Parts: sequence; structure tokens; C-alpha cells
Amino acid sequence: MKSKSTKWMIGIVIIAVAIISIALTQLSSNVVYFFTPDEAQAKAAELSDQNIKVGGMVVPGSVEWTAEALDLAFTISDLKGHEIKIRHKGTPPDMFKEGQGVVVEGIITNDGKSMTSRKLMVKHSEEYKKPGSHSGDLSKELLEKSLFKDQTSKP
Amino acid sequence: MFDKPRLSLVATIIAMIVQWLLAWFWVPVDDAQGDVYRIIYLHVPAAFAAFTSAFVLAVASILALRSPNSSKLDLSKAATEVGLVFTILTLATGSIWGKPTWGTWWTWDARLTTTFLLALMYGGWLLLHNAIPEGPSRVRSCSILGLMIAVDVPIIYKSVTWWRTLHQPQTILRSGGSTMDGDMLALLLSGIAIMVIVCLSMIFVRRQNIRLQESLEEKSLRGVV
Repeated sequence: MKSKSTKWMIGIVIIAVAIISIALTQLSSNVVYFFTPDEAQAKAAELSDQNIKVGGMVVPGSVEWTAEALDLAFTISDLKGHEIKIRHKGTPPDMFKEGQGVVVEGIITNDGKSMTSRKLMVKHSEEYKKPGSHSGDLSKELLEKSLFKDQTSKP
Repeated sequence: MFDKPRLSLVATIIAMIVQWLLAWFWVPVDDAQGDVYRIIYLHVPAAFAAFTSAFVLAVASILALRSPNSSKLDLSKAATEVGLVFTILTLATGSIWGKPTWGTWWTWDARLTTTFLLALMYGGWLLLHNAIPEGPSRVRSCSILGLMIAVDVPIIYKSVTWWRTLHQPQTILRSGGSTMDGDMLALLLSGIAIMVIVCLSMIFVRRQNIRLQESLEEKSLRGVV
């Protein structure tokens, strides 16, 4: 009886250690949820045959939307000079607009200059304000901080 | 007809309904998201209730581990069941919120994945509890799993700070103050307080249920009833 419960305990502890170590090593370094534009461009050649996610800000003035063809084109940027042109088929989410944070899932070209999107997601900030009470600066600052967290290269 | 915990549960549910009416009709709309953001007044309180259940489970597990031979798992089981309900509610409301704002029902980012893991582990606890016959061995195994479940909670909470996620970072408890307007924040905090009380009341009532059930089963086994 005693040895059986000890075995259970050892088993559970091993599983716990495994889960925690996988979480700490895999999630933090090897598997990032999305790349920043500069990371994606630096590794574009090796990433171009996989489905990847890239997060960035939609460059103001870059959005071209053809409603009849459901064709969306825009550029994302890390605001430090790295830009990727995005091509997306389908309607964008409601919150999609210029200056918004987005995470694009799709295939990047070898040169890292453009990407075909299969899934387009909006990343919004943690700011909640009633209409007319904010300038948008805080929201942008928060979004930038969250999007480009642990970015490997600096401008 | 109503005993004290049941009466307080009814009172809290009335408070919760008032809270929801305020969330629907009184609190201002969010500038960036529009009316859809109002689901935050259910989503965030539900998450805090799921965390509270894990805290109760952790305390119950530590107490049970100190004397596995004489301990019962009634409190742990009640906390796990209530925690599972609130975790599923958190995932469901988050998903419904995510579709119109993010443009997706689900994505495997760190916040969502660790919360999904919490639901799995709550469910796993109930399976484990069913799989082992009553006795010190069950108390030990379930209590260790209970502690592991509690460890997931700070990981969920900090996931948006530690890793890049689609989910936005913390709104309330962050350095530099909350990023929410005063009225919105006040209603959200009261919503969290109410939901935590609802959660604790549910755990308490469910624990009484479990005890009643166990004593009835015991009596029927002995042929008293």
C-alpha cells in the first residue's frame, strides 16, 4: 500500500518536472508564439517553407482593400525600420485598422520582404477608455511594448 | 428553509445580477472595441474565481497531505468541481470575446494554452479521484495533483508578461497603475469581488453536498437507510 502511493508520488513529480522544464525551455526560447519582423527577416530563408506567425504594427497609409475580390494588402513594421508586405485573402477582423497591432500567420518569402497570410489576427492593447477621453498614444505605447517584447535586434 | 450559506449565496447572486445590469447599461462603452468589451465583466471575474478555487484546492491539499490517514477530500473535490466550471466559463467567454476583436475563436498562445491546461488538470483531478479507491493513497495522489494545479495559476497570470502572446497584458495589477478608466475599473473590481464570493459560497455548499452524499452512502452500505 505504502509503496504504491510512493510510486504514484514519484510518477507525478516526474511529470511535473517534465511539464515545467518543457514550459521554461520551449516556450521561452525555441518556440515563440510570433516573430517580430526583424527576427522573421533574419531567418527568412530557413522559415520560408513553414507556416509562421509574425507580429507587427500596420503601417499607416499602407492598407489597400479591394472589397469585391476580398483582397487585402498592407505592410507591417516593428517601427525600427523592418517592414514586411502582407497579402491576405478575406475580410479583416473588425478591429483591423492602420496603426493597429496584428499577428499574421502564413508563408514568408525567401528574401523576407513579403508574406502570404492565411490567418490575420488583431492584437489590441490592455487600455480601456471611454470615447473621447484618450489620445491613442498610451494604447500605441502599450501595444509596442507587448508586441516587441524581447526583440533580439535593436535599431 | 434557507440556511446561512445558502442565504448568502442567494444574496450574492442578486448582487451579481445588479453588477451585470450595470455592466450592460451603466458603464461607458470602450472607445477601441465598442460594446463587445463588456464581456470583460464576466470574463475576468470568472478567471479570478477559477484562480480562487485553485487557491482553496492548494490549502485543502496541504492540510490533507499533513495527515493523509485521517483526511477526507471533500473540500478539494468541491474546489476542483467549482474551479473546472469557472475555467470553462473563462475559456468560453474569452473565445466569444476573441472572435470579434482578435478575429479568431482560439489560438495557442501562452495565456490561452496555460488556461486550457488548468481546465485539463481540474478534469484530470476528478478522473484521478474516481480512479483510486478511498484511503490515504487517494488523499496523497489527489493532493499532489492539487498542488500542481495551484502552481499553474501564477504561470497563467504572468504568461502575458513572460512570453509574447496574442492576449493583451494585465490591465489591473501592473506597474504604473491600471490602464482602465475609473468607472470601468470600479465595476470590474466589484465584479471580481462578487464572483470570488459566489465561488467560495459554491465551494462551501458543494462540500456540504459531498459530505451528505458520503454519509448517506455509508449508511445505506450498513443497511441503516
